[in-house]
Amino acid sequence: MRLTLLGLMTTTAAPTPVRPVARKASPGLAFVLTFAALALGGVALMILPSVDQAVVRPFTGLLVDVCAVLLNAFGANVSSNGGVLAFVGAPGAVLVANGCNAVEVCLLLSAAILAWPTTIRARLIGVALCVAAVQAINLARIISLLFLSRYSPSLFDFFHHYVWDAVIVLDAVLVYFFWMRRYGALAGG
Amino acid sequence: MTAEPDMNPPVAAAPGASRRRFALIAFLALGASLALWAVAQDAAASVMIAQARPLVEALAGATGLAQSIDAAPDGGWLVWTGRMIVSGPPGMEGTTAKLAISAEGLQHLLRTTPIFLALMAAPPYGADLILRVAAGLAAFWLFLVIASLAAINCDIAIMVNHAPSPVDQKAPPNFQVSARPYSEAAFFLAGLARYATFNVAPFILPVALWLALKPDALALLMRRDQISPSASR
Repeated sequence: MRLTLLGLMTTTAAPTPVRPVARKASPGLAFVLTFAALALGGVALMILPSVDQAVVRPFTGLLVDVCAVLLNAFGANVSSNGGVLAFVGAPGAVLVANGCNAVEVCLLLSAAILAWPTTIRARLIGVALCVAAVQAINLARIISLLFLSRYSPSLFDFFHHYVWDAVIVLDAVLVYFFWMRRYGALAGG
Repeated sequence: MTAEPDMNPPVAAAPGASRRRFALIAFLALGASLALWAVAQDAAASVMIAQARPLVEALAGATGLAQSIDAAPDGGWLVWTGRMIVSGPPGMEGTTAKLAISAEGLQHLLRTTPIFLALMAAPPYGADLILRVAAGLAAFWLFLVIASLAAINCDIAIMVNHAPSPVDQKAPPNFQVSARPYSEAAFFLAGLARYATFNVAPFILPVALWLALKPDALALLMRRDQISPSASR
């Protein structure tokens, strides 16, 4: 399927045969507009209080629980409580709030994948692949920030705001281009 | 019979090798730009924030959002809203409401600048690279203007409606002002605009600018692996 914004075919009612006038918008423009609509719609949906309570917060809690399971499997003694991941009986804790769960990046990536003109199957693979890749990096981010909060609080803010945001964006870019090269051209897009 | 031009000129480097070179240099440049940002972020961001204030003040004044915006001692802004306080703690009634926009919050909008610099530092290198980087930084500055207007609008909506933000539940101030409240839809849109500009747009901006200012990079990343004509002969 190829997305075109203004891919309308019109014919005139002239008595003599005429060539149809095709008016096609740039596929690039169609992609940008579809991406923008999906991304903005997704963000608007995500910030609705009901969606936040029913989906985003439980997902954030799940991320924290997974971090706790992983760390405890390697011998660290940590606990998870809601959005808080903390060492038990030792200093060091992080609160994983909205904005720290990489949901926004996953949403943007999903919008970019869904807006790309290719097959439904390729898009579904892309969404699953990209969300998994970004969330895997995000788990590493949360765990590293927990250790920074304990051993190097002075570096915590810089890593929190700059280093990990940069790594997540680069990760997203790389996985997106990997997907586009591997699956993006299935429909000749 | 004339000699035909070579329709398949040799490719300078195999696409796979070019992509690996791109990834390596982008990764190294990211480390360097993050280190640079760690040292110089206060100075660099302060300059951009200070330069943005007059334009934000003019736009906020023109749209009726605020009367004036002063520089705060911490590097942030003090927004004089022009709305009169009608009830609140003793001494505040009858005065004009003001909002504080922290320097930290404004700097947060520029947090993905190192990513843009790293992507621009990676190959391929076309003409006018410095000019393109400067254009990208100007776009970051323009984004700062737009996002700070969205933040001011949202804070004023919270203050005027005296209700928590529909997005992040930011609490209203401890005073009330005399002003017509935002409609429910406008209140939600104010929250959406702030959320989108603070939490979503900073992730798109460096990538979008890089693709716009360096379209050759997209061609490089998307080029199919194939044996170059020179190698096949």
